[in-house]
Amino acid sequence: MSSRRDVLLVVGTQLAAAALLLGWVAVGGSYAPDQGLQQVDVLSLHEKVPGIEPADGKPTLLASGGQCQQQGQMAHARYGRPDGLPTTYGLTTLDAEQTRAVGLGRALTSCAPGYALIDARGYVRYRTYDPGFGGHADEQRVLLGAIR
Amino acid sequence: MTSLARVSAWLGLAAVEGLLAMGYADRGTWWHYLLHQLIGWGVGLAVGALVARGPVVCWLVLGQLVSIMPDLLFRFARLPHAAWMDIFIGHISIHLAPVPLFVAFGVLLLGAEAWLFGHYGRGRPARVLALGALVLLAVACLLARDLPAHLSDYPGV
Repeated sequence: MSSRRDVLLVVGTQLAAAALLLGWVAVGGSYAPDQGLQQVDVLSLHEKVPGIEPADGKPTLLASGGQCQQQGQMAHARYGRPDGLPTTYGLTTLDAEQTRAVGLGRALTSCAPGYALIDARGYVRYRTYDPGFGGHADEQRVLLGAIR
Repeated sequence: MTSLARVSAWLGLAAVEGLLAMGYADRGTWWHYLLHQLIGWGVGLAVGALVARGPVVCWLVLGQLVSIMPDLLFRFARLPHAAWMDIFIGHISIHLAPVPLFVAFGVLLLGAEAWLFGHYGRGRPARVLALGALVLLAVACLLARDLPAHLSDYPGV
């Protein structure tokens, strides 16, 4: 009995995996969003960018500028701070030139919200596109906490 | 184990799997969910086929746990991802491998077929397929691009 159940579980796992993948493709999901670097949560950068400074000397989230409602000033006006992001961290909206400088240029030409994180000394430590960044304060808090 | 306990255990496992999937979806990381679950299940089944003992559900859950360990550390230990987390069956490199979702599905299919061959007493093809799953994952991780060290390393910048 348990042997038959094991076989069913293995076959079912393959079918479930195929269904999940087909479903992902059917809703327009990418095989590798932003070539696998979207929300990968690795602080692999350590780079100064001219014109980019932390807000009040605090680790700061830099929201991309852009045209859609999840982005930049429009996002601030609509959502305020990302829900749950403490005020111990800074929050700034980038202009078009700064948005390009931190590698988020696609946000300027399409609805592709993103953000960069800089440490208290102004080094860019992370950058990602994140369509739901206004609701991902928990993720941002972990990363900002690590770059104090 | 009584029938009631068995049913409860399966329901509990299903609930945990559902919560896990919802957690990834809620954070906008469904792509990562697909990637790491498929690899975890595939590697678990491949190792199960090589070891040739133990209930398959244990291998599935063990593989899945190892594969998502960096995400659990991120969520519960507040530990950002880092390159050393590749020890969890390529958790970091696989993001930057060629066609990562296809690799993940390939690892799962090879691992699952390996386990099925082993289950029906075909030890040699089982071992070949199981090793194939592990080699496919290793090669994909070796071919992965480096993590960006500079903003200019990002695609399209």
